[in-house]
Amino acid sequence: MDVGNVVQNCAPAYRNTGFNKSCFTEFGAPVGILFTQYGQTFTTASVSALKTALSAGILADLPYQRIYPVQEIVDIVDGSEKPVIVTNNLGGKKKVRDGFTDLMLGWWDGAFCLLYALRQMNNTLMPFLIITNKGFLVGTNAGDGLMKGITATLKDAEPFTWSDGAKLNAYNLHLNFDPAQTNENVKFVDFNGIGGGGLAYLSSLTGLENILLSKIARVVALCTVGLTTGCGGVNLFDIYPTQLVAGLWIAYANNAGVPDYTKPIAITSVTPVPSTKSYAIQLNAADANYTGNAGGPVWIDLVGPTELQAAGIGGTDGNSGFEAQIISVGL
Amino acid sequence: MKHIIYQPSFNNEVVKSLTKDQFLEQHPDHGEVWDKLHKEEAPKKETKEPGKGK
Repeated sequence: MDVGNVVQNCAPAYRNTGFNKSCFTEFGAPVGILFTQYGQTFTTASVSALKTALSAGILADLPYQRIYPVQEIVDIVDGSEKPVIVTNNLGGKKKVRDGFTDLMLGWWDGAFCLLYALRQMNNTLMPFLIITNKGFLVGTNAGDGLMKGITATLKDAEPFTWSDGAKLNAYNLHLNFDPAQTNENVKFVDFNGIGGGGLAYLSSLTGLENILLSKIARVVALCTVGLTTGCGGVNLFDIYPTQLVAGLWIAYANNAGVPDYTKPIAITSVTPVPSTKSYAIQLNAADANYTGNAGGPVWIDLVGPTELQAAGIGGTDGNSGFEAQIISVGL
Repeated sequence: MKHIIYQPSFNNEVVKSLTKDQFLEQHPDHGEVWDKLHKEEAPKKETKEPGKGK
């Protein structure tokens, strides 16, 4: 018999088991999830560096580089499988494998808005870190000084269940994963240490909120645009009546119904319009990217979440920042 | 009650790139903005722009 590449490790493994009674780690209950990107790793060597990476990840301009938090989990149902064990004819038992961890995580805050967003991402592979109510961030080992998200075998934001008058609508995220990732291969950071900020910090990672732009009017190169939040329809002019200045807007030429990101159109000025709770964006009518597309629609957007937050837009009222959804503004 | 002043915010680089006529087409009521920005630029220029200052 010629068998290659067989791993054999029959050496006994020993680990000390003596622990002080007050020591130490009980993770607690999962009260938040940070969905990360496949292949993304995070440092565990420095809490401050980890916090910087988490904050930057949440505000990342590009959706495929972004971290997507799910916070305020209040209902936890552990449906984890029992270990799979076989019994031989003589009554002895042997374990075939561990049972998979199975969590049903429900929330109230965010309700359907959060569910709707998560359901769009049901089929996207997004490893996740778990925030616990004891201030831990739990992931899996990615090498020395590094952690990464837990890979789920099932990640499903389930359809909501209806209220019957005696209880609320139920919104649940179903996660199923190999328990080795959070047991022998676990990697975690205790945020209760110096500079960590504890659960208060971890709970503050709430994610981006959409800004929906809407065309109010367009006269030649003057585009008037309104802004509301994506969920709840809060008019952001009421909150930011003057703050969305010229440098925070961007415009692009149109190319067969989609924005041409290679052809930005310079913006000369932006003026708040209190009567319609909107902003009037004066495009530079002399810009070649505008004159080359005269009479056609233009695309209007705001700068990315990081730049918006740097200008004081977002990061309050329960979100980590804002991301605007680009719109076409025709004549 | 706090009084909010709604004023246009200008992109200075764009305004500097425009001739005064081009700017006034877009902002007929704010010629002073163009004048101010181009006045700030003026000391750097050694010669007048062609066609100006006749």
